[in-house]
Amino acid sequence: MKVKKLDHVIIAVNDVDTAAASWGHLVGLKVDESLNQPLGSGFKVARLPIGDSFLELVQPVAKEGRFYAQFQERGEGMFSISVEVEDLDAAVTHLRSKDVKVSEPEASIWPGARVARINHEYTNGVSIQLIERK
Amino acid sequence: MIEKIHHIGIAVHDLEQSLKFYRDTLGLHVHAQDTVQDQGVSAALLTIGTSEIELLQPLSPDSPVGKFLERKGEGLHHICFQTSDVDAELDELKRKDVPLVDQTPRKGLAGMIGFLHPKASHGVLVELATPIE
Repeated sequence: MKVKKLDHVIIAVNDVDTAAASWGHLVGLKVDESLNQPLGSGFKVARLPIGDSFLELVQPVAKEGRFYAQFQERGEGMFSISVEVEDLDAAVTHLRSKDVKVSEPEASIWPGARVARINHEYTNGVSIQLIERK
Repeated sequence: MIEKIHHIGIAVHDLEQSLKFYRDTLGLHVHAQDTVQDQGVSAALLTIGTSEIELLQPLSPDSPVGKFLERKGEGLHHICFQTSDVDAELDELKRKDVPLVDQTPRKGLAGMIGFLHPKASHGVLVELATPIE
């Protein structure tokens, strides 16, 4: 499988606006307003570009779903990393051939991207999402 | 001025075991592996695009990473941003009364580095680094 880069780092927050202001204050990162229109709902999101990656601040809004359940358990902090791969289907096939559990590829909240999640028991506790961009 | 994500630090119990996934299965290249006594870790740095993944195994349970493992278990430990001038960044943060772990830069795996206190950034441990040429 071919890994291209660290696409983004997902950070769970209680309040997107407060957290975005804090990242601006600390290290000068700014919200990219043009990119704050993810598909679907259930959370508020802000994207803060940095180099060729970005931080994605995520605040749960709906009190249900996978993200909300994990947020309740873990609280604020680094939540997962998103790794860009050249070919998502090939990556999933490769990982499964090594007996690593990976979810079925699905549409990302970001238009045009597809994602699959690696089960954290194979990754030393890290939630890793593979992402393929067009 | 922050330039990029230098690395993501991951706390692990067993460095060799973790390399089986990150190096052998994901196929990331290990470009450095070292033991840093004063930080109490055995570490491997793996290249991912223009950033790195830093796998950290504590040398003892009472080291910072050892305590993290005991409290939270394996997982994401910190994020490190690259800056051209870590000295100036820390001075600026001090001027803003941001709580810091390191008041002045010290030598780390990523170059000259300094950690912010996690309460400064909503539970995220942030490191700043200026690589040494």
